[in-house]
Amino acid sequence: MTTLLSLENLNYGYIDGSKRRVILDDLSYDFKAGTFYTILGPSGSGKTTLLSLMGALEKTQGGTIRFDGKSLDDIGYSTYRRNHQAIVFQQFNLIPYLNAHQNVLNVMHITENDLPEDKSGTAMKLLERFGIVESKAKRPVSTLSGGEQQRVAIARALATNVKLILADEPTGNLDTATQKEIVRIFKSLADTHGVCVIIVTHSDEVAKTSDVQLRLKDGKLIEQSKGATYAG
Amino acid sequence: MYFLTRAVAYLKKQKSKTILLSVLFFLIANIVLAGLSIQKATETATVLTRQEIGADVVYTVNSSQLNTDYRNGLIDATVDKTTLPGIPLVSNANLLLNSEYVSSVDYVASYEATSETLTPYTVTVTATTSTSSSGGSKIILGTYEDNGDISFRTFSRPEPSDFSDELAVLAEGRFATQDEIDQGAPVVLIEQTLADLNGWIVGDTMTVYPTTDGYEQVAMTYEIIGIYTTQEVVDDRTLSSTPSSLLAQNRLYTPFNTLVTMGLSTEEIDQIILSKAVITLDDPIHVTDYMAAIEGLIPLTYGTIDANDDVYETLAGPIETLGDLSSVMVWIVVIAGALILSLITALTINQRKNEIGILLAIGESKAKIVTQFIVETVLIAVMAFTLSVFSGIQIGQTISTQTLDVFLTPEPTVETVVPQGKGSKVTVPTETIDAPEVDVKLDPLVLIQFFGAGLLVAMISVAIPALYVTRFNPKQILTNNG
Repeated sequence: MTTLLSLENLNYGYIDGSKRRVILDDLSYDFKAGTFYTILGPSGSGKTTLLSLMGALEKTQGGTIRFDGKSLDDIGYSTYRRNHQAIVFQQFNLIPYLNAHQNVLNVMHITENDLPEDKSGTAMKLLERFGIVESKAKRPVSTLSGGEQQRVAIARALATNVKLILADEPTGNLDTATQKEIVRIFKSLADTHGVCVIIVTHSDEVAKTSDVQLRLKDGKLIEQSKGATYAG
Repeated sequence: MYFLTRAVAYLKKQKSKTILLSVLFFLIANIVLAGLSIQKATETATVLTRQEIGADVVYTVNSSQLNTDYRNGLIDATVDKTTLPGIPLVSNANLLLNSEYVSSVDYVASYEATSETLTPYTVTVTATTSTSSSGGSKIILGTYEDNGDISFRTFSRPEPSDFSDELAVLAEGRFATQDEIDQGAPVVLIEQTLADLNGWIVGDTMTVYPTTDGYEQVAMTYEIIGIYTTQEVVDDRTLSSTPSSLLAQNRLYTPFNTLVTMGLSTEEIDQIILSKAVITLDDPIHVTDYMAAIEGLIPLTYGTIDANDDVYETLAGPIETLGDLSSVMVWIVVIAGALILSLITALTINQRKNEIGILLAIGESKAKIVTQFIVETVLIAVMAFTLSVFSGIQIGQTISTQTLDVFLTPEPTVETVVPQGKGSKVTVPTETIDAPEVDVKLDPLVLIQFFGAGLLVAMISVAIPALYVTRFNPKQILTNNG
């Protein structure tokens, strides 16, 4: 497996009162293509911060992140977000005044990646693949349930044909059945499409399904074990 | 270009915000347009006022200066009036014609004549009717000798000034042609009363002896080409001292060049003192420029050149004040409106921080995010501005009409006094200058400027807060608004 995302000596912290609190301490790790990773850790350990850095939502305070061998500074943060990764948020973060179909279509117009000519049809098929039928796809996203919104968010992440998918507690607001379904989709993306999927989670159940379980401890990523077989 | 779809989707989804912003834009645009309309109306009214007053510039004797200097003994009856500086000699008047703005000129001079055959009009209250034909009279208006039965008043354009000023109205026949005027053809327009008294009709001829200084009296035969009725009214007090030859009924209009026909040389004609030279300009708008151009050409000690400036100032002064007020109003509204719009759009953008964070997180460029917000505001602004063009101009029209009415009431009037010699005066019916009827039509260029300025204000008021928000990274925005 080739390295897709490489973290080199990342440092991150903030001032808490009179003390500097270290979140990431000279953290280094290589994420491979076609692998499903989960990152575990207690609240406040810096999981979401790490995901934000990998998603280029903010800049590192030290160290380098490379995608396909190029640093994010060289690629450009906006370009990286647009063409190389997709992120699924715990709070879905859909554009509220667009319907589900438009939300997916929106990122397809933003990315510069090669996509099918019929973007609208592709977006609809993608939504249907996640159980969002056309009648629901044309409704304002605020009228969809949490699970449906998360599926729209995942469809949006997949629509741009990127090699890296990041997700922050994507199953946190979902029922068990939907949780399993979504984890299965992530797993299948890694296994069959060569996508690198990195999920931040609290859930041991989700972690068990991953190829690599990582724990963020004392500002460093520690590999726990190889991922278990997902039977879902 | 999907940001356009997002912009339209936002406007549709956020109907109440869209409507509120539209109403705000509409109100501000209406006030600005009303102000601009009033400004435009005042500009138009100023021009119309000038047009209403006319494009005539009158060069005449400065009677008050002449009388003052007489009283003070600076000049006396023996002085050769042609030597007085600025007196309206033909040679002086000719100096005023060398301008691109001059369209035509009417040389009004007067001279008297006697006749053995005609019966002049007389009135019972006066005993001044005379048929004396003593020589030595001068062709000088305002210094008549009482030595004629009738008087001639000259003109040098087809419709004499008295007719265009409605002091006389052509009842029958025609005016002289320009050819007849240029050739000095002995044609006359006579007053209805005199025509009736002598049984003359159009086409008849009459023979008279003009009384010109230093010249042998020659019989001149004139063809009557038109009969007019005078509009002048002489009050009884004045009438008693008015020689019959100076009564309007005994006035005949004949081309100025008949003086050449009579045998006067060019040099002699140059020395004729005109009662007035009416110089008509090509456009009333050019009056100010013309007056500036001729300034200093003639030392105007005993002459005046008047373009009805007093009347114009009386009428145009309040209109210009209104224009200045509306200009101040427009600026206040533009500045206040820009501030209000900026604050409202800034607040709106502030509420959309989370959306900005999401768009940045999924890779949208800052420029397109800002452009989307600008497009949304511009769509609202264009809709509101377009509607306001109709209502704003209507409001402006109403305010302009009402305000101009207030400013211009009572309507100013101009009293025209015709000097008639020997200190007598004949007052003609008062001429009324109507307040101009103003139709507010905004120049397309002004509308384009209005649209441009409005949209610019809208764009800036959106772009600044949007750029302010997009300078943060997506994590900061989403964390702070999540």
